[in-house]
Amino acid sequence: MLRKTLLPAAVPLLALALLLALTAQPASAVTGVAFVHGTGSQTDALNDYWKAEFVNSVRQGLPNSNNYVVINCDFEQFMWTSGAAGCLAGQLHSFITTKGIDDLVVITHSNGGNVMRWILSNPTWDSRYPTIINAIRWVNALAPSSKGTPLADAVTNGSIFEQSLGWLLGYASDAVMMQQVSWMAYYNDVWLFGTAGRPALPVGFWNVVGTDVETAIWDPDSYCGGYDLNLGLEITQAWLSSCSDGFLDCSSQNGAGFLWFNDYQATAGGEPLSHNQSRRKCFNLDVILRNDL
Amino acid sequence: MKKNLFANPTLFLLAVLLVAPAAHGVDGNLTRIADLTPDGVVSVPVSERGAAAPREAVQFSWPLAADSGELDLGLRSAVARSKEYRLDVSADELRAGIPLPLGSAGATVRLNPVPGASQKALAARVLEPQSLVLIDPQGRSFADGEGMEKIAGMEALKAAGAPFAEGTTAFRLGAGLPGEWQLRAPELSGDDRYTVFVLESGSAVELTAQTGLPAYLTGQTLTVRAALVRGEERLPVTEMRGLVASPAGQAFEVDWSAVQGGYQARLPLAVAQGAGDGLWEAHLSIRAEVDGATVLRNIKTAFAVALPTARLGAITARQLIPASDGLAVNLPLEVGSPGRYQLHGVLFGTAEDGTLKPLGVGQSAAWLEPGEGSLALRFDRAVLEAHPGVGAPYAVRDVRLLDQGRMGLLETRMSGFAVAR
Repeated sequence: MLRKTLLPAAVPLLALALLLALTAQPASAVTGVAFVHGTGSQTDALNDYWKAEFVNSVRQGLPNSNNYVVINCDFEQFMWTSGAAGCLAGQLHSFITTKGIDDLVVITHSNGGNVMRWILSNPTWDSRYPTIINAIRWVNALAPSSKGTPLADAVTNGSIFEQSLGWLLGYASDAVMMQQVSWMAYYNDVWLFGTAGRPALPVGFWNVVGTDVETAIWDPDSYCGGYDLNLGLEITQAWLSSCSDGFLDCSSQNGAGFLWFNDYQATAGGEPLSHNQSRRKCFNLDVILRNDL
Repeated sequence: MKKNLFANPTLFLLAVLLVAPAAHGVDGNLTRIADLTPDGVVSVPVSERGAAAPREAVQFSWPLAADSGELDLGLRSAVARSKEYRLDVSADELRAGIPLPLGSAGATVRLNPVPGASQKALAARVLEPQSLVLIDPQGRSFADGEGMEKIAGMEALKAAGAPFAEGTTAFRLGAGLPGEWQLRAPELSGDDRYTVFVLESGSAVELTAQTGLPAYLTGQTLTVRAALVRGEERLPVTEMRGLVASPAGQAFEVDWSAVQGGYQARLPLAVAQGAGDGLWEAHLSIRAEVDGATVLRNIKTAFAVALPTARLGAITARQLIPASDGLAVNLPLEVGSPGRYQLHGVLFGTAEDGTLKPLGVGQSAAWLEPGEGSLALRFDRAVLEAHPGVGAPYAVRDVRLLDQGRMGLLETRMSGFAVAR
């Protein structure tokens, strides 16, 4: 398994990129990058989930900037379904085989990390999975919900003692149900790898952890990614610990795989990345990811 | 030899044992648990999703780096923790005022109209926090958002991306006295239903719950341990209700009876095959009196229940398969139901000091029909050569059999077996 080190703020990005380029890529590799969205059913994730300015900036780090794919799948479903992991596998497999990619960096956000981890943890589920795994250099998991979130528990709570469970279950999608804390604990213990005490994944799973949400109305940093979205995330922090990105506790974001960096260790100005900002062109995140290709 | 566990193979009785002792908290030693072992196998048809499972056999293995972390083999069930409670009330009750017992300042209150319970449009039933009246334990009244911090209307919560129920609003109480508050909605009337959630994140009192296993087989006994705790202190509970909910939404209420050190209940539970994707949940609601104040808490925790559609057979050294580029071990299976089954194991080698070190993970899956079957775990040379100085004699640990089509953990043998090359 290829390894990389924490990105220290003091190390020039160019030098680090050179180091990684020398140590990470196999000889004559065809490098590609895949963007895997989070919860939701996407048909135009480039514009609706990531934004083109973010994707276009990151892919400039490729030797051939056309070797990228933006995944569009239904991640409202349970991670193992044909519409989720099956769809992701289909698009990754097609990308790899069509373009001859043998050095793939996968960038996931939020629940996209769980769907990717499903494929990495269950290589015998589908004959396409080994091909995908063997082509992956590593996964850069932006704010992955590896241990779920108390927010998912909160939104699926309901009037269970009044025999109205039907409407209760209708509140949340399967993906939200799945990201409840005790649900993810089960899946991590039985079906998924990479959490503490469990076998490691077959490829590196490197976490970028968002540690806070800034919503000061006078601070322009609060507006990156959309002020209204960040304002909502500050409210949801009531359900979370003191270290969170407004949607996920830091312990969940770093619950599987390895810590690549906490936001303040590598972003421009040491700015925190809210859950919304960790998929946007905020505080040099796009450049960090670009230099990692 | 196939054995039907039940007269009707698609139905079974699941005895439920819920133990929620006030004096017994969650046992930290419960994190390492014995194997999951089926007594027999059942015959059930292939589900729609199971029928779509791939038919080709797939094998895969990968090495474990020396610094990839210490393995803690064994099933572990998580400890759920809650500082939240929920009230289900009518519009008339909200108009008259409902008690909100609060043990700490800074509680977050969330309200939503119950969908499906009224002919009125949800948008017309939204309770904006500014329309509410709060009365503190000393009888002081707060209106028009006074006494509230971080008021979140429906749109702000939607923008957060958390899919709260339609019409949900929330607010955080500012600094205030702990004790019994009252919440009123003077503009409401009628029998429309509302749910009020109170999160006391600043409270030291939390309800914990933990199932005995994260995964069960039909016919086994579910155990849940629960405790109301304040740090290391166990607190007595005066009232409790519990139920078990299936993935399909069936809810089975549990009757409690006192036993030594707590409470228990037994519940005959009929479950059909295809109870739904997802997990079962144990729910618990408690009331307690702590330092003269009322404490309410709700909690839930998830677990899986699988039909024993296959099981491992006896494993002996005779199942070894010579392989020039690695090591393969053939394991016999007793298959009760057609499906795609997955075998998993972790290969350990012996270091120079005689200790066993993990070398890598092997998985194998194939479609199997009822009867005697087998799956072969194969560990490639890259696994065998993962760590210099670690080699034969080998052992396979953490052996697990899973039903991929039905998403079930069927059997575990954590201590596995030794392998002679």
